[in-house]
Amino acid sequence: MTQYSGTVQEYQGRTIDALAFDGAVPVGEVQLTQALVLPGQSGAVTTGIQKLVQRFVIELLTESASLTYQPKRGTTFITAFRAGIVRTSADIFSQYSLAELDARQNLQAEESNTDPADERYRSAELLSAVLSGDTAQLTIRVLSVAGESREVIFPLRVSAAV
Amino acid sequence: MALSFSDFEVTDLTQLNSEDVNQLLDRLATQLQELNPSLDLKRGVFKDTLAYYHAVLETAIRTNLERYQSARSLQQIEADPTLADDNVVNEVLSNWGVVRKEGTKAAGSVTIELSANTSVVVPAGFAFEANGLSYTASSTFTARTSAAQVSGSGDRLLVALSNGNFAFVIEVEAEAVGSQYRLNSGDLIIPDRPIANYATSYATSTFTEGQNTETNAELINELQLGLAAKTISNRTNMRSWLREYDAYSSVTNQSIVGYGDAEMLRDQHTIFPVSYGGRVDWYVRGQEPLQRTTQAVTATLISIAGTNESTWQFSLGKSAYPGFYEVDSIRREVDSASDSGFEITLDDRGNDLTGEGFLPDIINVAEGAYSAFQTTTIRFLDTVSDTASLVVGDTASYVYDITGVPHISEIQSLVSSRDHRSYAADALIKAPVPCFVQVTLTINKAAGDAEPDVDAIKNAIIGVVNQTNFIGRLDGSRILDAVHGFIQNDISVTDLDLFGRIRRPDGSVQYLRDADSLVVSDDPEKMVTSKTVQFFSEISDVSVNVQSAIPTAT
Repeated sequence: MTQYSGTVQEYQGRTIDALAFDGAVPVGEVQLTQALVLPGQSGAVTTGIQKLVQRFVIELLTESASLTYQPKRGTTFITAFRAGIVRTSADIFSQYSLAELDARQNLQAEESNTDPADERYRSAELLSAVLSGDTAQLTIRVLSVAGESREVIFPLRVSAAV
Repeated sequence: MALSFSDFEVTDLTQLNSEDVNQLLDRLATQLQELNPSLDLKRGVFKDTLAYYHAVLETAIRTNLERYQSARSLQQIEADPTLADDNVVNEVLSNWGVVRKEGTKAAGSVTIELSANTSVVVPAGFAFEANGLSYTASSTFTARTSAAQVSGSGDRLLVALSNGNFAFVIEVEAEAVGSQYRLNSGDLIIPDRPIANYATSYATSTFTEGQNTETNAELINELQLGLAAKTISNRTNMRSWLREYDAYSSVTNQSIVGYGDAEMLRDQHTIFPVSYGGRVDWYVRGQEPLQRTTQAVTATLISIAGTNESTWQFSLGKSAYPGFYEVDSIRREVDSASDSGFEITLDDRGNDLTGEGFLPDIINVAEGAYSAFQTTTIRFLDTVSDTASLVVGDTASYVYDITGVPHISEIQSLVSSRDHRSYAADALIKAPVPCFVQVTLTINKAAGDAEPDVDAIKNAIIGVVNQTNFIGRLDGSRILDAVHGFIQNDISVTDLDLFGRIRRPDGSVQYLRDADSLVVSDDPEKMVTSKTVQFFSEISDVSVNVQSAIPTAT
């Protein structure tokens, strides 16, 4: 798998977060790997819009009240799937609209006006939802406060080789 | 989860204080941010995944440390003993020689009356219930109809009673530890399953054992006793000395009256109306509940008044029941214990100061009342026995119930022994002056409310009464507080009535009645004050009326 990497200069003046979903490519669709560290490699850090995107994905997929000491975090999206409520694509849209409200509230509550615009959440639109067997494929467009304009900065890696 | 020096475990991660976790998380995020400004610790993976779980684990460790330190600190334990872990408190206080009294299960005999002379089997573990508490047969018992059939340890002979029933006796044990399981002679105890030809069943005599495990708060109260020298010196030393003896672990409240106390009359045996000291009256409540025991006696006929009316008399020496309070419910051996018994016409107390060893200075009945030197002569009217063939001077066997508290004689012997006795004083062990209390109250509920657990309420009430220390008053608010633990919704408690009967050391009786508090009068010349009187109540003394008097809210 080709691993895209940013440069140190691109990270100047930004705060970094650990990369939680690895394997993104500039164009096209690819299944990401959820891992802080891939086997045989180092972990990676990220910033900018990707930091926001992974925050949104984690928030969306975290079930409400599943964090014992932060019960308000997360959404009911996965809970609805577990409960068997979601049976059609239309169900996904309706559940998503509920969950997005919770996610928006939680994400915006931890942001401030001094944060970079491309790291601040504005909205996330579910563009398509397809149910196929036991798989649901969703296409979501995450919009930051920066709007359509964004600079994608790839993760910064450190060689695991010694 | 037990926490002790030898068994230190991490707290269950779901039981932490949420505020503690989030405070620590914020602090961790701030500190890490200061250490590395380029990390995003306001949100995201570093904060929500890494720092969050670190905060959870760190909070668990800190919580354990706090508990550990709190438990190790006497100051912290004393501040709130309920928070400290039992094992840790045990280990800390053992450094001062204070050992927790472990609870024991009550055990005793139960008489079962059958309506027919037929053999029945009560298997081991067979359940009985009394006052809402459970008991089990300690082994298998078989009621036999003839003495020839009695061979094994579980075989019991059926004895014919005057009421036409047949009785046999078995042994039972309480389901759990605690003083509330102690039954007194005559208390009803009912089988959970049918027994063939069953008529009734009751405690044959007062149950033994049956003590509560000391709570942390009680143990802390004893700390001073652990530090004090175990000797008959000042009040703390004396209580500490007594606590050293496991045999007297059932002893609860104590009051020590000595020089300078108005209740001390024994140090005024002089022509001058002054106290000269050297005397100690040590009032010892040998156990929390009143002890009621059934004993057999041979009585002598002293007069005949009619066909079925005869007066009998017997005497109880100082060893019959040292320190006893009262004799009641005298009946023939063949009569059921459920009979109310014959009327007592005379209770003539005295003191027996004969014998070897040191004898306290006692000059009248009142001074020796409820001590190990007390004696009595009891006269009663038998209204059942046929007097046709009797002549004055005949003897017959009777049984009687007697109330008191245990250990009075044993402790007196110990105190009077040469090794322990103060060389400058004489100490007289006495059972506290009794105030027998009856409690009546009404619970008002709506028709839809669940029935309150009356048995549990009664047990809670007698717990309050019997645990009241030498404070000279029994307040209704404490009783209501206990009752409120068993009721909810709009249920209320009204019509509280407290009735007390003090049997003074001189044999006279004082009645107290109040809806608010029973307050012991200050009569030191009669040795009746807050320093000498203890309240006693049995389950049969408590009456709880339940009525549906509250309208259902609409």
